[in-house]
Amino acid sequence: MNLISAKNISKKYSKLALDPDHIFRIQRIEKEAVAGFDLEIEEGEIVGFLGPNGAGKTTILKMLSGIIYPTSGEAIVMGQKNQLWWDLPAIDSFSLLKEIYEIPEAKYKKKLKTLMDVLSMHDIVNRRLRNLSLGERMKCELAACLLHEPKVLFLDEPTIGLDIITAQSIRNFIKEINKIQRCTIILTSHYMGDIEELCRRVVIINHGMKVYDGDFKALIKKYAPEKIVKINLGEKKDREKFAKIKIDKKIEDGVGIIKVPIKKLSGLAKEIFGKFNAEHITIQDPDTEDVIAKIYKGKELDIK
Amino acid sequence: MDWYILFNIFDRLQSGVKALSRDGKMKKYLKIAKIVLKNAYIRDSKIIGNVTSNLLVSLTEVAITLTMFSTIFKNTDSLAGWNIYQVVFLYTLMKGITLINGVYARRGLADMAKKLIRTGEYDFYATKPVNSMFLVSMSKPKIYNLLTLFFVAILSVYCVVKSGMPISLVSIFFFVLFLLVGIILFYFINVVSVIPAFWFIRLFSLSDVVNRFTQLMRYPAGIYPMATKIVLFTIIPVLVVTYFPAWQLFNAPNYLYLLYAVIITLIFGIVANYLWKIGEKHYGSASS
Repeated sequence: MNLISAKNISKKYSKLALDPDHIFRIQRIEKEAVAGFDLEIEEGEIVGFLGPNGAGKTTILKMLSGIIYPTSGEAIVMGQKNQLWWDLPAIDSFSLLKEIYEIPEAKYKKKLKTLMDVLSMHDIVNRRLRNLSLGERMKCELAACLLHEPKVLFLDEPTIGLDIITAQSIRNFIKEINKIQRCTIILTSHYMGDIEELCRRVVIINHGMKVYDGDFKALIKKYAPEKIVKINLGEKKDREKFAKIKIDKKIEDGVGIIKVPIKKLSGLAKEIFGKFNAEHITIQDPDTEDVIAKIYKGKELDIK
Repeated sequence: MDWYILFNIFDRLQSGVKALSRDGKMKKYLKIAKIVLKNAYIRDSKIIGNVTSNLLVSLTEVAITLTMFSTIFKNTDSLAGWNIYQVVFLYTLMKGITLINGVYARRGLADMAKKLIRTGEYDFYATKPVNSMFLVSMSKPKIYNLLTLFFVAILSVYCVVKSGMPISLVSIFFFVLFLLVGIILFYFINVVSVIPAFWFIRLFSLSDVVNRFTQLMRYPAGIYPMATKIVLFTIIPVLVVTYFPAWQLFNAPNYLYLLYAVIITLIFGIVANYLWKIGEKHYGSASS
């Protein structure tokens, strides 16, 4: 069952400004933030929205959540986005949200307890929001979002500015809630860790248009058809042997790095394992962020 | 005929209220208002210094205005036939209505004009399953206005007693009706004044103009020239807010005045809701 269905949605921003060539003439300047965007998302999916800054991710998210109206097209969404009140303890905002969303008392208490347990936030709900750290506020925001058990959750960079441990606990929570509630989640993030860990499906947006919609791993495989071989070159004789390898390579901080196409990997592996101590060799996938950066720089993706 | 129209309007209003009560919306909105006010009380109780200074400033303003009226009435016996106590009563009415408006709506609407659209904070209100106009209005209540209101109410009762005018129970009943309509109308005037923020992003001027017009609510309508009177009873009907109730207290019931007050309040209510909905469609939010 599709929980989100957007058909050909567009958003144009326009403003009136004086024409620099004719001082008495007013011209309308139009900017197309999103152009003909289609999207269908099923119940329980976690979908990542990727794209460089200014690509139109947040605009699409806001159209889908009903905050702004599309200039044309149609978006049908079941769900909402939340926010807490700055000057109050989170618990007071929760009680207000309880009334706004008409949550029965017993259900509210049960849900609140579950959320406080899962997010370990018993100590922070009675402190004013403005006195909480960013990570603590984010936990409260998530709890507020989920009090009324929404079918769709929009998360715009949920781990931005958080330390590694808090970011990881937020990611765990998102996975947990998706599993328990079958809640459809759309998230934007510049942290590939979020996307890699949470999203099987990604939508890449650039210049307000969808350039890719599909499996995240397939995308990485397609755009990073290579492995990275790293060799620790602690000794002089290793550095000399490394120099003799006939393939594009570089040395960074005493580590020899070779980017090798997957087809040639077995041949190269045979050679280097014969020349170097196996303990000094690692073979890994390219950094996801590098791959995504490569995609952003590319003109168009040919995978659809 | 007048009675028939009046009855019809009240009947429709009553049906509307009943419909709201039936589907539980009225109860829900009252509960939200109660929690918002409770939260505001909790917040304000921790900033006693701010509350006290606000009270002192408000009372000083009342004292300065009384001095001004006292000076004026040393040079004249009446203003458009109103004696000093009636005029001061009119002023307390204006002050009281603006204070009541301040309790639940003024700061929220001021935020709308200055901040919510520009910063994208309106997102919060746009996504809630509650009337966004109501939620924005209720977002920053100033309940300590009630302290000033208490002093202003005492002053108004004193003025009525000292005015020497015969006051009947019927007059008091109609005065209360006019007052309720006036409070609602004043709220809608304020709402209409901030709606252009949806288009202009940041707006001080229009809501500021309405604040200036509010100052005209403290004088009897008779002192204004005809053109000004027409504006103040129709386009920016601030005189309907205060002059009608005060006039009603000192005179026999006038159903036509009440009918007019109800109709213009309904018109402003419909216009405010309609423009707000159109404005929401123009809302572009802010970048994250």
